[in-house]
Amino acid sequence: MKRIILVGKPNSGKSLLFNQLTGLRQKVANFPGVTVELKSGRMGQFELIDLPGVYSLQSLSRDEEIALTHIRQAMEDADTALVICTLDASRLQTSLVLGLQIQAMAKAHGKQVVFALNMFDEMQRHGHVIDLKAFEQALQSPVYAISARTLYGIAEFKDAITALATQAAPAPIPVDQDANRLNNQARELAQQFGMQSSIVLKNQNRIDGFLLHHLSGSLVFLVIMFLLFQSIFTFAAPIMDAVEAGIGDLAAWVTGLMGEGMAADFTRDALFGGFGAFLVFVPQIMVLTLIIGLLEDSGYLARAALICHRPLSYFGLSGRSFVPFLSAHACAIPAIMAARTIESPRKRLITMMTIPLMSCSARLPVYGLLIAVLVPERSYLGGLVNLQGVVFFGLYMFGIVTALVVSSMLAQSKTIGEQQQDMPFILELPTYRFPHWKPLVRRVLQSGKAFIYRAGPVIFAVSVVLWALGYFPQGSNLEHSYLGMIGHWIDPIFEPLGLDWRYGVAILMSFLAREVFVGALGTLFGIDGADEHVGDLATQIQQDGLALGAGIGLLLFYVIALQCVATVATLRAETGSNRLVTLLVVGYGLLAYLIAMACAQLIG
Amino acid sequence: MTSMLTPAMTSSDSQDAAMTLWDAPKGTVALIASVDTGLDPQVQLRLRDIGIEPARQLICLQRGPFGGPVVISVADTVYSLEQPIARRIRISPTV
Ligand SMILES: Nc1nc2c(ncn2[C@@H]2O[C@H](COP(=O)(O)OP(=O)(O)OP(=O)(O)O)[C@@H](O)[C@H]2O)c(=O)[nH]1
Ligand SMILES: [Mg+2]
Repeated sequence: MKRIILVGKPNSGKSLLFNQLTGLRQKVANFPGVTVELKSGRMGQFELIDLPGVYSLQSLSRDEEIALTHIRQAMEDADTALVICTLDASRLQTSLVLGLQIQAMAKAHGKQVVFALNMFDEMQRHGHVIDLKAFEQALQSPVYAISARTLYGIAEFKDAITALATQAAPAPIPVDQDANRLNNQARELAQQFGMQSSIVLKNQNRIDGFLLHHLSGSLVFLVIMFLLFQSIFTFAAPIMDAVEAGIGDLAAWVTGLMGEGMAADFTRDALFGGFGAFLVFVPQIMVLTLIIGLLEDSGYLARAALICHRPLSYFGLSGRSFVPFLSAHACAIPAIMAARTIESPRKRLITMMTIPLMSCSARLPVYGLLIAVLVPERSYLGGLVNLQGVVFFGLYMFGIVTALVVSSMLAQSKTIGEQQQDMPFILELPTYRFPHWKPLVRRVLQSGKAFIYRAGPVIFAVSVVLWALGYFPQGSNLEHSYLGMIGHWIDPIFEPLGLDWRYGVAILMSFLAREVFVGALGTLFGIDGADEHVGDLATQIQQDGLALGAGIGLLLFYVIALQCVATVATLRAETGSNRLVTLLVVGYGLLAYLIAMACAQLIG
Repeated sequence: MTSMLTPAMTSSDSQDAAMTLWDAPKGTVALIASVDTGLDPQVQLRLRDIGIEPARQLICLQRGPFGGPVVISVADTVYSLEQPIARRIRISPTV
């Protein structure tokens, strides 16, 4: 298949354009360095390839290196039919520095180039007018004014690139690829056709004056971080209560219809008890995605990275580690990939190794359940501070602090990523933007769906298996079921943690996916329970009795332990080291166990 | 604003008109005097491509909070640069 590649400076809208042309949903955010790997999609009879952004033909980080390697390959490849180079219309000079280098390279290889003058809506909003005909003439390649956001000019652009890509390739021509000359030309073109930088940067600089000021800036940063973690709890609480009540009612109604018997027991304990207990947490995942999405769209992430750079340096990390750490609170896998933008290989490695300590959304159900069991619902300062919310925040902080401690220990070690050279921290601060609502809403819904689809089948299967093992031989209680017999073997492992075998089974099962913990406990307590109705699981556990120390230990265990197979696989691929990953799994596992044991023994 | 012209006190070799970018007070408009040639060649080329090369203009927008990276604008873009690199760029302030 013939290919079209999308090249451009970081944050110039390549991925949004890619999405509009292919109908796919690649990640778009207002931060330079969002795309970190090749993404491919279909556009008509062509394959369209979205690349990580680059500033020039020199790479400083892994993501840029990936893009440049592919660009060089694509130039040699006979199947490359067209090179689209995006230009940010409000930042012509920076865009053209890369644009002209790419154009020269393409001409030398006999490849067609078309310029997509993107962000045209922003240029128009500033009242700037550009003489497109003259610009096209000066560039000597076709130019299309588009906006990937408002869709201005997209239909024409699509037709035009289809036509261009179908044409026969031009003959390679010798061109002067001297970067100094091209950079000068970029500067002249920008002066002639571009906007004045004082106009483009005016708003941005005013806001930065406040957000990067050492006092107001740090204050805003701390407030945003606190609100982020607090709101996952507070915003989602009412929706979660509603979902929980809904599931409870539905369970009562359905089992009421079914009458007594094994089928009703199964429906109540395995389906509603196991699976239902997990569904309650979908709203929290969605709130988390919404808030991270708002931060990403606004342009604040780059500022946060800047503010964090110095403090994170003390721990052997970079300001660029901030963005992967933040997104790790949704899921560790994209976060490990995002670490590719970190300029220093050593800091990148340390970041990847500590990302699993950030509390990803799979832990939310575990935290939510155990907090409801252990922490009374109490508010202070007129409802402003909620005790459960504070504990929630504390768990997140515990993960972050542990990550920092581990980082500084790794940074002391001489063997970690020493071979390669460190690149300096140079980060572009993008324009502030209002959120792009439609994709954001879609992404929030998608996150809920993905959460259910990913862990749902596992939880369902585990619930069914546990239920069967726990229900039979029929008439026996849980203690004397098949599961109970198996459970007693593993009792000694969990006894030092102050937990009985039912928790042990749930913990072991959660190595499939952390959320399974809640589903598994739901099923076990369902079989065990007084079985009139599916009450909420937290109340059942409270009635059953869970010691405070053991409960806290269990929470901290889940903060630390690396229990996710997909994370392990991603780490292995990105670090290229089996030994390192094994070390991490064992190390974090032991640490988690010891902390849990200490809690159980000391607090009681 | 005369304060812009006084060399930063921390600058040890303030005899020549140039100071390092790291020492420039907020609001300084300056021409780049030199970029340390001892820097990694790849970094030097990158700096050149984003417009940090002799005789280009830059504006120092913010001192980094708590010794963090400085914020500058070059051409149409705003960048932040950490201390080790900002130290190796010499500038001569213009009014
Ligand atoms: N106003 C406006 N914003 C746009 C336009 N195109 C993209 N954006 C916004 O620009 C930001 C960057 O878009 P991306 O598509 O992620 O940019 P990218 O070039 O893929 O960035 P990297 O993957 O980091 O290289 C996002 O906030 C988009 O919403 C446009 O035409 N107009
Ligand atoms: Mg992208």
